Amino acid sequence: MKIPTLRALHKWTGLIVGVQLLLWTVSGLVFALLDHDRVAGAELAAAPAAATLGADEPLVEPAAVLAGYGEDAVRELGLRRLGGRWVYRVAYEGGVELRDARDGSAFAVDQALARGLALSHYRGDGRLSHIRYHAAPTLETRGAGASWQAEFDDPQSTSLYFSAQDGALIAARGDSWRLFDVFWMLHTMDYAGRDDFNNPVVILVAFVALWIGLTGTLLLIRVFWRRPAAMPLSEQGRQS
Amino acid sequence: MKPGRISRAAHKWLGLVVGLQLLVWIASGFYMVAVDLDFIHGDSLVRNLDTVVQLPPQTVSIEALQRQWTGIREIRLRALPDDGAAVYEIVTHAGIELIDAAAGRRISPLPQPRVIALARAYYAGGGEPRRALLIATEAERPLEVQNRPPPLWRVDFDDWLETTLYLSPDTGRLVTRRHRFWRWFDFLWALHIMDYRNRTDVNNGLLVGASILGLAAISAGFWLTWYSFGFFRRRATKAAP
Repeated sequence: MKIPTLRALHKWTGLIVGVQLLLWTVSGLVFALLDHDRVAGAELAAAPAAATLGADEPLVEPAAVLAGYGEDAVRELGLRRLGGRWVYRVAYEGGVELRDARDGSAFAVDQALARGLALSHYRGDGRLSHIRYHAAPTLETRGAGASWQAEFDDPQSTSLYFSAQDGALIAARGDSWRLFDVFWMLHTMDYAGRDDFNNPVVILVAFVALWIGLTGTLLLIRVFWRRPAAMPLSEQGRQS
Repeated sequence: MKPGRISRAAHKWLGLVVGLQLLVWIASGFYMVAVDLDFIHGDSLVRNLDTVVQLPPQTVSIEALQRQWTGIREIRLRALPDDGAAVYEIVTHAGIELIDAAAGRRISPLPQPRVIALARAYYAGGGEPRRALLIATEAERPLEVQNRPPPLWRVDFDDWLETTLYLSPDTGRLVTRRHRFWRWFDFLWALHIMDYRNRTDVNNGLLVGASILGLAAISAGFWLTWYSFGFFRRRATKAAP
Protein backbone atom coordinates (compact mmCIF):
# COMPACT_ATOMS: atom_id res chain seq x y z
CA MET A 1 0.00 0.00 0.00
CA LYS A 2 1.18 3.51 -0.78
CA ILE A 3 1.87 6.01 1.97
CA PRO A 4 -1.11 8.32 1.17
CA THR A 5 -3.52 5.33 1.27
CA LEU A 6 -2.05 4.12 4.56
CA ARG A 7 -2.21 7.63 5.95
CA ALA A 8 -5.87 8.00 4.97
CA LEU A 9 -6.77 4.64 6.52
CA HIS A 10 -4.84 5.46 9.70
CA LYS A 11 -6.40 8.91 9.93
CA TRP A 12 -10.00 7.81 9.41
CA THR A 13 -9.87 4.74 11.66
CA GLY A 14 -8.19 6.97 14.22
CA LEU A 15 -11.03 9.47 13.95
CA ILE A 16 -13.62 6.71 14.44
CA VAL A 17 -12.20 4.86 17.46
CA GLY A 18 -9.48 7.21 18.66
CA VAL A 19 -11.40 8.20 21.79
CA GLN A 20 -11.70 4.56 22.86
CA LEU A 21 -7.99 4.04 22.16
CA LEU A 22 -7.29 6.95 24.49
CA LEU A 23 -9.65 5.48 27.13
CA TRP A 24 -7.94 2.07 26.89
CA THR A 25 -4.55 3.66 27.47
CA VAL A 26 -5.75 5.89 30.33
CA SER A 27 -7.54 3.00 32.08
CA GLY A 28 -4.55 0.72 31.47
CA LEU A 29 -2.32 3.31 33.12
CA VAL A 30 -4.71 3.49 36.08
CA PHE A 31 -4.58 -0.33 36.47
CA ALA A 32 -0.78 -0.19 36.41
CA LEU A 33 -0.71 2.55 39.06
CA LEU A 34 -3.37 1.24 41.49
CA ASP A 35 -1.83 -1.29 43.86
CA HIS A 36 -3.28 -4.67 42.93
CA ASP A 37 -3.46 -6.08 46.46
CA ARG A 38 -5.30 -2.99 47.64
CA VAL A 39 -7.75 -3.25 44.74
CA ALA A 40 -8.36 -6.91 45.58
CA GLY A 41 -9.11 -5.91 49.19
CA ALA A 42 -6.47 -8.32 50.52
CA GLU A 43 -5.79 -6.17 53.58
CA LEU A 44 -9.45 -5.46 54.37
CA ALA A 45 -10.59 -8.96 55.31
CA ALA A 46 -9.21 -12.34 56.34
CA ALA A 47 -10.69 -15.62 57.51
CA PRO A 48 -10.88 -15.82 61.32
CA ALA A 49 -8.62 -18.27 63.17
CA ALA A 50 -9.71 -21.84 62.48
CA ALA A 51 -11.53 -23.74 65.23
CA THR A 52 -10.98 -27.45 65.75
CA LEU A 53 -13.71 -30.03 66.23
CA GLY A 54 -13.81 -31.56 69.69
CA ALA A 55 -14.06 -35.36 70.02
CA ASP A 56 -17.21 -35.04 72.17
CA GLU A 57 -19.00 -32.35 70.17
CA PRO A 58 -22.56 -33.68 69.74
CA LEU A 59 -23.36 -33.85 66.03
CA VAL A 60 -26.14 -35.12 63.78
CA GLU A 61 -24.97 -37.85 61.40
CA PRO A 62 -24.86 -37.03 57.65
CA ALA A 63 -27.43 -39.73 56.87
CA ALA A 64 -30.00 -37.86 58.95
CA VAL A 65 -29.29 -34.61 57.12
CA LEU A 66 -29.37 -36.24 53.69
CA ALA A 67 -32.72 -37.85 54.50
CA GLY A 68 -34.29 -34.39 54.29
CA TYR A 69 -33.45 -34.13 50.59
CA GLY A 70 -34.34 -36.10 47.48
CA GLU A 71 -32.40 -39.28 46.69
CA ASP A 72 -30.32 -37.76 43.89
CA ALA A 73 -30.27 -34.24 45.21
CA VAL A 74 -27.18 -33.71 47.37
CA ARG A 75 -23.81 -32.93 45.75
CA GLU A 76 -21.78 -32.16 48.83
CA LEU A 77 -22.20 -31.96 52.58
CA GLY A 78 -19.68 -29.84 54.49
CA LEU A 79 -19.24 -29.74 58.25
CA ARG A 80 -17.64 -26.46 59.25
CA ARG A 81 -17.48 -23.71 61.85
CA LEU A 82 -19.61 -20.65 61.14
CA GLY A 83 -20.31 -17.76 63.46
CA GLY A 84 -19.37 -19.71 66.61
CA ARG A 85 -21.14 -23.00 65.92
CA TRP A 86 -20.73 -26.14 63.85
CA VAL A 87 -22.93 -26.24 60.77
CA TYR A 88 -23.59 -28.45 57.78
CA ARG A 89 -23.43 -26.70 54.43
CA VAL A 90 -25.61 -28.66 52.01
CA ALA A 91 -25.05 -28.20 48.28
CA TYR A 92 -28.00 -29.74 46.47
CA GLU A 93 -29.82 -29.38 43.17
CA GLY A 94 -31.88 -26.47 44.52
CA GLY A 95 -28.91 -24.43 45.72
CA VAL A 96 -27.08 -24.20 49.03
CA GLU A 97 -28.50 -24.42 52.56
CA LEU A 98 -27.17 -24.31 56.09
CA ARG A 99 -28.18 -26.69 58.87
CA ASP A 100 -27.26 -26.63 62.51
CA ALA A 101 -24.91 -29.59 63.05
CA ARG A 102 -26.24 -30.24 66.56
CA ASP A 103 -29.86 -30.89 65.62
CA GLY A 104 -29.98 -30.76 61.81
CA SER A 105 -32.41 -27.83 61.69
CA ALA A 106 -32.20 -25.51 58.69
CA PHE A 107 -31.40 -21.88 59.39
CA ALA A 108 -30.84 -18.73 57.37
CA VAL A 109 -28.00 -16.26 57.53
CA ASP A 110 -29.75 -13.48 59.45
CA GLN A 111 -28.60 -10.00 60.32
CA ALA A 112 -27.09 -11.01 63.67
CA LEU A 113 -25.03 -13.79 62.06
CA ALA A 114 -23.96 -11.47 59.24
CA ARG A 115 -22.87 -8.89 61.81
CA GLY A 116 -20.80 -11.50 63.67
CA LEU A 117 -19.21 -12.67 60.43
CA ALA A 118 -18.42 -9.09 59.42
CA LEU A 119 -16.71 -8.33 62.73
CA SER A 120 -14.69 -11.56 62.74
CA HIS A 121 -13.45 -11.11 59.15
CA TYR A 122 -12.74 -7.37 59.15
CA ARG A 123 -9.05 -6.42 59.38
CA GLY A 124 -9.24 -2.62 59.15
CA ASP A 125 -9.54 -0.14 62.03
CA GLY A 126 -12.94 1.37 61.26
CA ARG A 127 -16.27 0.70 62.95
CA LEU A 128 -19.19 -1.23 61.49
CA SER A 129 -21.67 1.49 60.51
CA HIS A 130 -24.39 -0.26 58.46
CA ILE A 131 -25.50 -3.74 57.66
CA ARG A 132 -27.96 -4.33 54.85
CA TYR A 133 -29.50 -7.14 52.88
CA HIS A 134 -29.48 -7.42 49.07
CA ALA A 135 -31.91 -9.94 47.61
CA ALA A 136 -30.41 -9.54 44.13
CA PRO A 137 -26.77 -9.36 43.00
CA THR A 138 -25.30 -5.85 43.04
CA LEU A 139 -22.52 -4.25 41.01
CA GLU A 140 -20.18 -4.85 43.96
CA THR A 141 -21.02 -8.57 44.32
CA ARG A 142 -21.44 -9.26 40.61
CA GLY A 143 -23.05 -12.68 40.01
CA ALA A 144 -22.97 -13.90 43.60
CA GLY A 145 -26.70 -14.02 44.51
CA ALA A 146 -28.34 -12.71 47.68
CA SER A 147 -25.92 -11.09 50.10
CA TRP A 148 -25.37 -9.18 53.33
CA GLN A 149 -23.35 -5.98 53.03
CA ALA A 150 -21.40 -4.76 56.06
CA GLU A 151 -20.19 -1.16 55.74
CA PHE A 152 -17.28 0.19 57.77
CA ASP A 153 -16.42 3.85 58.36
CA ASP A 154 -12.71 3.60 57.46
CA PRO A 155 -10.91 5.77 54.84
CA GLN A 156 -11.47 3.11 52.14
CA SER A 157 -15.25 3.00 52.95
CA THR A 158 -14.85 -0.76 53.15
CA SER A 159 -17.79 -3.02 52.45
CA LEU A 160 -17.62 -6.74 53.21
CA TYR A 161 -20.16 -8.93 51.46
CA PHE A 162 -21.32 -12.29 52.79
CA SER A 163 -23.43 -14.83 50.96
CA ALA A 164 -26.97 -14.97 52.33
CA GLN A 165 -27.00 -18.66 51.38
CA ASP A 166 -23.97 -20.00 53.25
CA GLY A 167 -22.33 -17.04 54.99
CA ALA A 168 -19.17 -17.21 52.86
CA LEU A 169 -17.19 -14.01 52.32
CA ILE A 170 -18.03 -13.00 48.74
CA ALA A 171 -15.99 -9.84 48.38
CA ALA A 172 -14.14 -7.09 50.21
CA ARG A 173 -14.57 -3.78 48.42
CA GLY A 174 -12.85 -0.47 49.12
CA ASP A 175 -12.53 2.81 47.24
CA SER A 176 -9.44 1.50 45.39
CA TRP A 177 -11.57 -1.29 43.97
CA ARG A 178 -14.42 1.12 43.14
CA LEU A 179 -12.06 3.42 41.24
CA PHE A 180 -10.51 0.42 39.47
CA ASP A 181 -13.95 -0.87 38.56
CA VAL A 182 -15.05 2.35 36.81
CA PHE A 183 -11.94 2.21 34.63
CA TRP A 184 -12.46 -1.54 34.18
CA MET A 185 -15.89 -0.71 32.72
CA LEU A 186 -14.26 1.77 30.31
CA HIS A 187 -11.65 -0.85 29.40
CA THR A 188 -14.10 -3.74 28.76
CA MET A 189 -16.80 -1.46 27.24
CA ASP A 190 -19.43 -3.46 29.16
CA TYR A 191 -21.33 -0.51 30.62
CA ALA A 192 -23.97 -2.68 32.34
CA GLY A 193 -22.28 -5.62 34.06
CA ARG A 194 -18.68 -4.41 33.50
CA ASP A 195 -17.20 -7.94 33.32
CA ASP A 196 -18.27 -9.21 29.90
CA PHE A 197 -15.36 -8.37 27.63
CA ASN A 198 -16.68 -10.63 24.85
CA ASN A 199 -19.43 -8.12 24.00
CA PRO A 200 -19.97 -7.18 20.32
CA VAL A 201 -19.18 -3.49 20.84
CA VAL A 202 -15.70 -4.11 22.20
CA ILE A 203 -15.00 -6.74 19.53
CA LEU A 204 -15.97 -4.31 16.76
CA VAL A 205 -14.00 -1.40 18.20
CA ALA A 206 -10.97 -3.64 18.83
CA PHE A 207 -11.18 -4.81 15.21
CA VAL A 208 -11.10 -1.23 13.91
CA ALA A 209 -8.30 -0.47 16.39
CA LEU A 210 -6.36 -3.36 14.89
CA TRP A 211 -6.40 -1.45 11.59
CA ILE A 212 -5.06 1.67 13.29
CA GLY A 213 -2.25 -0.40 14.73
CA LEU A 214 -1.41 -2.20 11.49
CA THR A 215 -1.51 0.90 9.28
CA GLY A 216 0.43 2.84 11.91
CA THR A 217 3.14 0.18 12.00
CA LEU A 218 3.38 0.11 8.20
CA LEU A 219 3.54 3.90 8.11
CA LEU A 220 6.39 3.91 10.63
CA ILE A 221 8.30 1.40 8.53
CA ARG A 222 7.69 3.40 5.33
CA VAL A 223 8.51 6.77 6.85
CA PHE A 224 11.66 5.79 8.71
CA TRP A 225 13.07 3.06 6.53
CA ARG A 226 12.27 3.87 2.93
CA ARG A 227 12.97 7.56 2.89
CA PRO A 228 16.68 7.31 1.83
CA ALA A 229 15.70 5.26 -1.24
CA ALA A 230 13.08 7.83 -2.21
CA MET A 231 15.57 10.66 -1.94
CA PRO A 232 16.40 12.42 -5.24
CA LEU A 233 19.69 11.33 -6.79
CA SER A 234 21.18 14.80 -6.51
CA GLU A 235 20.60 14.81 -2.72
CA GLN A 236 22.19 11.38 -2.34
CA GLY A 237 25.24 12.59 -4.23
CA ARG A 238 25.54 15.62 -1.98
CA GLN A 239 25.44 13.46 1.15
CA SER A 240 28.16 11.02 0.18
CA MET B 1 7.89 25.34 13.59
CA LYS B 2 4.15 25.33 12.95
CA PRO B 3 1.97 23.40 15.41
CA GLY B 4 0.83 21.08 12.62
CA ARG B 5 4.41 20.04 11.96
CA ILE B 6 5.22 19.73 15.66
CA SER B 7 2.23 17.42 16.22
CA ARG B 8 3.22 15.33 13.20
CA ALA B 9 6.81 15.00 14.42
CA ALA B 10 5.64 14.18 17.97
CA HIS B 11 3.21 11.51 16.76
CA LYS B 12 5.83 10.02 14.44
CA TRP B 13 8.67 9.85 16.97
CA LEU B 14 6.51 8.72 19.90
CA GLY B 15 5.07 6.15 17.53
CA LEU B 16 8.56 4.93 16.79
CA VAL B 17 9.22 4.51 20.54
CA VAL B 18 6.00 2.75 21.66
CA GLY B 19 4.31 1.90 18.37
CA LEU B 20 5.20 -1.76 18.58
CA GLN B 21 3.84 -2.06 22.12
CA LEU B 22 0.63 -0.26 21.06
CA LEU B 23 0.22 -2.84 18.31
CA VAL B 24 0.90 -5.64 20.84
CA TRP B 25 -1.74 -4.18 23.18
CA ILE B 26 -4.33 -3.98 20.42
CA ALA B 27 -3.58 -7.41 18.94
CA SER B 28 -3.49 -9.23 22.31
CA GLY B 29 -6.59 -7.33 23.43
CA PHE B 30 -8.36 -8.31 20.24
CA TYR B 31 -7.65 -12.00 20.91
CA MET B 32 -8.98 -11.65 24.47
CA VAL B 33 -12.25 -10.02 23.43
CA ALA B 34 -12.79 -12.13 20.31
CA VAL B 35 -12.36 -15.58 21.92
CA ASP B 36 -15.13 -16.57 24.33
CA LEU B 37 -13.91 -16.47 27.94
CA ASP B 38 -15.86 -19.57 29.03
CA PHE B 39 -14.13 -21.49 26.26
CA ILE B 40 -10.76 -20.14 27.41
CA HIS B 41 -11.61 -21.32 30.94
CA GLY B 42 -12.19 -24.79 29.48
CA ASP B 43 -15.83 -25.10 30.57
CA SER B 44 -16.61 -27.16 27.48
CA LEU B 45 -13.78 -29.63 28.20
CA VAL B 46 -15.05 -31.01 31.48
CA ARG B 47 -18.07 -32.73 33.00
CA ASN B 48 -19.10 -34.53 36.20
CA LEU B 49 -17.97 -31.69 38.43
CA ASP B 50 -20.89 -32.33 40.80
CA THR B 51 -21.44 -35.99 41.52
CA VAL B 52 -24.52 -37.01 43.48
CA VAL B 53 -23.76 -38.34 46.97
CA GLN B 54 -25.23 -41.83 47.52
CA LEU B 55 -24.49 -43.07 51.02
CA PRO B 56 -23.37 -46.71 51.23
CA PRO B 57 -25.49 -48.95 53.51
CA GLN B 58 -22.83 -48.76 56.15
CA THR B 59 -21.30 -45.34 56.26
CA VAL B 60 -18.50 -44.42 58.62
CA SER B 61 -20.05 -42.09 61.16
CA ILE B 62 -18.97 -38.54 61.87
CA GLU B 63 -18.70 -39.63 65.48
CA ALA B 64 -16.06 -42.23 64.55
CA LEU B 65 -14.08 -39.63 62.59
CA GLN B 66 -14.25 -37.26 65.55
CA ARG B 67 -12.73 -39.94 67.77
CA GLN B 68 -10.04 -41.01 65.30
CA TRP B 69 -8.77 -37.63 64.19
CA THR B 70 -7.51 -34.65 66.11
CA GLY B 71 -7.43 -31.08 64.92
CA ILE B 72 -10.34 -31.37 62.47
CA ARG B 73 -11.28 -28.03 60.94
CA GLU B 74 -13.71 -29.20 58.34
CA ILE B 75 -15.21 -32.44 57.02
CA ARG B 76 -16.72 -32.70 53.55
CA LEU B 77 -18.79 -35.61 52.34
CA ARG B 78 -18.85 -35.98 48.57
CA ALA B 79 -18.62 -38.61 45.80
CA LEU B 80 -15.82 -39.31 43.35
CA PRO B 81 -17.04 -39.24 39.74
CA ASP B 82 -15.28 -42.38 38.41
CA ASP B 83 -17.05 -45.01 40.52
CA GLY B 84 -19.45 -42.78 42.43
CA ALA B 85 -17.96 -43.84 45.78
CA ALA B 86 -18.80 -41.61 48.73
CA VAL B 87 -15.73 -40.13 50.43
CA TYR B 88 -14.93 -37.95 53.39
CA GLU B 89 -12.44 -35.13 52.96
CA ILE B 90 -10.93 -34.36 56.32
CA VAL B 91 -9.30 -30.96 56.67
CA THR B 92 -6.84 -30.54 59.54
CA HIS B 93 -4.05 -28.06 60.22
CA ALA B 94 -1.71 -30.58 58.54
CA GLY B 95 -3.61 -30.75 55.24
CA ILE B 96 -6.39 -32.78 53.66
CA GLU B 97 -6.95 -36.55 53.78
CA LEU B 98 -9.43 -38.59 51.80
CA ILE B 99 -11.35 -41.41 53.52
CA ASP B 100 -13.49 -44.06 51.87
CA ALA B 101 -16.87 -43.43 53.51
CA ALA B 102 -17.85 -47.14 53.36
CA ALA B 103 -14.65 -48.86 54.50
CA GLY B 104 -13.19 -46.05 56.55
CA ARG B 105 -9.80 -46.56 54.87
CA ARG B 106 -7.56 -43.67 54.02
CA ILE B 107 -7.23 -43.54 50.21
CA SER B 108 -5.11 -40.42 49.79
CA PRO B 109 -2.70 -39.72 48.26
CA LEU B 110 -4.48 -41.27 45.28
CA PRO B 111 -2.24 -43.51 43.13
CA GLN B 112 -1.65 -42.86 39.45
CA PRO B 113 -4.21 -45.36 38.04
CA ARG B 114 -6.97 -43.85 40.18
CA VAL B 115 -5.97 -40.32 39.15
CA ILE B 116 -6.14 -41.33 35.47
CA ALA B 117 -9.56 -42.92 36.02
CA LEU B 118 -10.78 -39.69 37.65
CA ALA B 119 -9.28 -37.58 34.86
CA ARG B 120 -11.20 -39.68 32.33
CA ALA B 121 -14.39 -39.13 34.32
CA TYR B 122 -13.90 -35.36 34.35
CA TYR B 123 -12.80 -35.14 30.71
CA ALA B 124 -15.50 -34.32 28.15
CA GLY B 125 -13.33 -34.36 25.01
CA GLY B 126 -12.59 -37.11 22.50
CA GLY B 127 -8.92 -37.80 23.32
CA GLU B 128 -7.12 -40.26 25.55
CA PRO B 129 -4.77 -39.64 28.48
CA ARG B 130 -1.25 -39.51 27.08
CA ARG B 131 0.73 -39.26 30.29
CA ALA B 132 0.29 -38.47 33.98
CA LEU B 133 2.93 -36.73 36.07
CA LEU B 134 3.00 -35.99 39.77
CA ILE B 135 4.05 -32.44 40.66
CA ALA B 136 5.19 -32.82 44.25
CA THR B 137 6.87 -29.50 44.97
CA GLU B 138 6.60 -25.86 43.94
CA ALA B 139 9.93 -26.15 42.13
CA GLU B 140 8.47 -28.75 39.73
CA ARG B 141 5.31 -26.78 39.13
CA PRO B 142 4.77 -25.31 35.65
CA LEU B 143 3.98 -21.61 35.27
CA GLU B 144 0.44 -22.35 34.12
CA VAL B 145 -0.55 -23.52 37.63
CA GLN B 146 1.68 -21.13 39.55
CA ASN B 147 -1.01 -20.12 42.04
CA ARG B 148 -2.17 -23.69 42.83
CA PRO B 149 -0.60 -25.38 45.82
CA PRO B 150 1.15 -28.72 45.14
CA PRO B 151 0.88 -31.71 45.18
CA LEU B 152 -0.89 -31.91 41.83
CA TRP B 153 -1.28 -34.57 39.18
CA ARG B 154 -0.88 -33.34 35.65
CA VAL B 155 -2.80 -35.48 33.13
CA ASP B 156 -2.17 -34.65 29.44
CA PHE B 157 -4.63 -35.73 26.76
CA ASP B 158 -3.77 -36.42 23.11
CA ASP B 159 -6.51 -34.19 21.62
CA TRP B 160 -5.76 -31.31 19.25
CA LEU B 161 -6.56 -28.79 22.01
CA GLU B 162 -3.63 -30.22 24.00
CA THR B 163 -5.88 -30.48 27.04
CA THR B 164 -4.26 -30.86 30.44
CA LEU B 165 -6.27 -31.62 33.57
CA TYR B 166 -4.75 -30.96 36.98
CA LEU B 167 -6.06 -33.07 39.85
CA SER B 168 -5.32 -33.11 43.55
CA PRO B 169 -4.03 -36.46 44.93
CA ASP B 170 -5.37 -35.40 48.35
CA THR B 171 -8.97 -34.85 47.30
CA GLY B 172 -9.40 -36.29 43.80
CA ARG B 173 -10.89 -32.97 42.75
CA LEU B 174 -10.29 -31.36 39.40
CA VAL B 175 -8.13 -28.38 40.37
CA THR B 176 -8.01 -26.71 36.98
CA ARG B 177 -7.74 -27.33 33.23
CA ARG B 178 -5.52 -25.88 30.54
CA HIS B 179 -5.53 -26.10 26.76
CA ARG B 180 -3.94 -24.60 23.64
CA PHE B 181 -6.13 -21.48 23.56
CA TRP B 182 -5.81 -20.87 27.29
CA ARG B 183 -2.01 -21.01 26.87
CA TRP B 184 -2.22 -18.54 23.99
CA PHE B 185 -4.38 -16.26 26.12
CA ASP B 186 -1.88 -16.45 28.97
CA PHE B 187 1.07 -15.71 26.67
CA LEU B 188 -0.76 -12.71 25.19
CA TRP B 189 -1.70 -11.62 28.71
CA ALA B 190 2.01 -11.56 29.58
CA LEU B 191 2.62 -9.33 26.54
CA HIS B 192 -0.41 -7.19 27.45
CA ILE B 193 0.72 -6.46 31.03
CA MET B 194 4.43 -6.56 30.10
CA ASP B 195 5.34 -8.96 32.92
CA TYR B 196 7.24 -11.49 30.84
CA ARG B 197 8.50 -13.63 33.69
CA ASN B 198 5.59 -14.31 36.06
CA ARG B 199 2.71 -12.95 33.99
CA THR B 200 0.92 -11.67 37.11
CA ASP B 201 2.38 -8.29 38.15
CA VAL B 202 0.18 -5.53 36.71
CA ASN B 203 1.98 -2.87 38.76
CA ASN B 204 5.38 -3.09 37.06
CA GLY B 205 7.36 0.01 36.09
CA LEU B 206 7.75 -1.02 32.47
CA LEU B 207 3.97 -1.08 32.04
CA VAL B 208 3.60 2.33 33.70
CA GLY B 209 6.29 3.84 31.48
CA ALA B 210 4.95 2.31 28.27
CA SER B 211 1.39 3.42 29.17
CA ILE B 212 2.51 7.01 29.67
CA LEU B 213 4.40 7.00 26.34
CA GLY B 214 1.44 5.32 24.64
CA LEU B 215 -0.87 7.97 26.04
CA ALA B 216 1.45 10.70 24.75
CA ALA B 217 1.65 9.09 21.29
CA ILE B 218 -2.14 8.80 21.01
CA SER B 219 -2.66 12.35 22.34
CA ALA B 220 -0.22 13.65 19.73
CA GLY B 221 -2.24 11.69 17.16
CA PHE B 222 -5.38 13.49 18.27
CA TRP B 223 -3.61 16.81 18.03
CA LEU B 224 -2.39 15.88 14.56
CA THR B 225 -5.91 14.85 13.50
CA TRP B 226 -6.93 18.46 13.92
CA TYR B 227 -4.42 19.55 11.25
CA SER B 228 -4.48 16.51 8.98
CA PHE B 229 -8.21 16.94 8.39
CA GLY B 230 -7.45 20.55 7.49
CA PHE B 231 -9.72 22.35 9.96
CA PHE B 232 -7.24 25.24 10.22
CA ARG B 233 -6.43 25.29 6.54
CA ARG B 234 -10.05 25.72 5.55
CA ARG B 235 -10.59 28.47 8.08
CA ALA B 236 -7.46 30.23 6.82
CA THR B 237 -8.67 30.19 3.18
CA LYS B 238 -12.03 31.59 4.20
CA ALA B 239 -10.39 34.42 6.13
CA ALA B 240 -8.24 35.38 3.13
CA PRO B 241 -9.64 38.19 0.99
